[in-house]
Amino acid sequence: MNRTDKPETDEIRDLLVEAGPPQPIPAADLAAIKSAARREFLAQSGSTIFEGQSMTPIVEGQSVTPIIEGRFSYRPVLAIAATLILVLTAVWQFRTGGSPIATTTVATVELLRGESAAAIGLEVGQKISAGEEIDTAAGAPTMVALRMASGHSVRLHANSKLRLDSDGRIQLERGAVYVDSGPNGAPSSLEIGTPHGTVREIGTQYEVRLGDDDDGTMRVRVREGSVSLNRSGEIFAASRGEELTIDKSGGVDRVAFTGADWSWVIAAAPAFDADGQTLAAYLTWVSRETGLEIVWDDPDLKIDMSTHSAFSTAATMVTPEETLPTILPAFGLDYRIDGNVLRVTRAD
Amino acid sequence: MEESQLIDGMLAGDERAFDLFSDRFIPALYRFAFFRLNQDRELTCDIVQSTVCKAIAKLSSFRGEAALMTWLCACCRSEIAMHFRKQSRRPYEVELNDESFAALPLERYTTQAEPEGTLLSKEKHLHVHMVLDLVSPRYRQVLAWKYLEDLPVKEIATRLAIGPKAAESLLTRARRSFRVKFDHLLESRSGDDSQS
Repeated sequence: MNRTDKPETDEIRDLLVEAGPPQPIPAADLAAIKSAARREFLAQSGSTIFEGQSMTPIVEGQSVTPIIEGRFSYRPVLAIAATLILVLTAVWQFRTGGSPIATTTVATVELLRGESAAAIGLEVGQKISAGEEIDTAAGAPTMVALRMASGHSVRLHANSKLRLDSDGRIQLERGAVYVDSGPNGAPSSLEIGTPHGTVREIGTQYEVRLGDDDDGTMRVRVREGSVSLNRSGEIFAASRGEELTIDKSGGVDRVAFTGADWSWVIAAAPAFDADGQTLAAYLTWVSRETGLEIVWDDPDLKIDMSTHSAFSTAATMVTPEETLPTILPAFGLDYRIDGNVLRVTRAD
Repeated sequence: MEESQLIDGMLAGDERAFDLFSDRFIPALYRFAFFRLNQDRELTCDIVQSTVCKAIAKLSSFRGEAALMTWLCACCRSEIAMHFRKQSRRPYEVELNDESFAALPLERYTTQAEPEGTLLSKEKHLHVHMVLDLVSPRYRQVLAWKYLEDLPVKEIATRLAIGPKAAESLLTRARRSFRVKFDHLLESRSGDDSQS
């Protein structure tokens, strides 16, 4: 029952308008507090600490940062953080009021694709600080590719939203995100927090997609490597070619490495910088982005192309599928795609 | 997830529950402490960190008689008092008379013409912002779009790639969630006062 004759809608509007946008909380402060809280939580639950980047398990007898007795102090963290500050910028969740806050860069925008790229307030090359949110829901569908400081390629689908807590942790709030740790793996791990649990990778390419509603399901598709998901203490694992559906049952199905399911990932792929690269490196990129397995018709041809065939110009490739008909003939090669295989042959 | 489920989950070592706790309560608690510590950022971090860590350690003793945010705020007040006791000085004089604040019904907030900058007004704004921290990110976003950016429902629907009816329904749920949490916060202040 309402307390006044005033409609509740108006009351809430008045409250919000009068209070105005909340002053953003410095991301570094929240990150330090959450990190200490997480350590305490894991210490209390006797669990394993995964601090995003290091994934270092606590072994018995190993000292953990004291939290309650001899509490972990924020002050040295602040001092260390101050030395790591790369960017001084205003990070305002609602983009109004207040003074600039010092923050740490955790990612860089590599690519924006879509008609409303400008509407989401990002530019290619822009540094993203810890605590910032990216929402691709503004206007027409837009996709964003980020390069994390940890080395991971992270792509955010249209109508999706995430928050970058640190270079080792992303919170997915809506939609879908794709993570690629690179052909040689990233030097540190990246975890994706979701309302359904935390997804951790083990050198992989995978997509995490939330359902349409807060109470919906979540899907994790693994293209390479493997991932684990911790939900309510239950650990679910999925490996290459598997799709984990997180609902009441938590089932696992098979999924193709290639095809329409991954088309948005390919469309949001950062361009291949051909400068000084060999044809083999180019084909590795094609394979990684499309999921196609490269098969050389003649093994000697592979060796030859790997050592001698370099791009003569600093061309920037667009999407893998667009470049194949142009690039391979220029090297005297032909190709055909059979299912999940890209077969490379000598041109007639 | 209900608070009782969240607490049970945390006690069972469920990281999902901890993540929810961390995302939902720590920002609100930070705001709470920041306001009471005269916007001393470094001290706020120390106090909130200490409060949250102790609260996690003592979570099994939380009986659920009050809302979790109420309990956390009480722990935070205690932590602030202890800090100043150790410093042998009085806390910053920013604490509003809790009794007068708690007695204020919601309509007072929305109808009373108060001079800008009063503590009462600031405290009210603090509570609005704390409630925004406490609602789900999706609700927070649509409330901000609708009432802070004044976007029409149609535009919100476009941004969320849902229909206008679904957007209106989402807004209704967001308002309801805001209202419930706001009322809880007010009631918890009343409860605090009666206990103290």
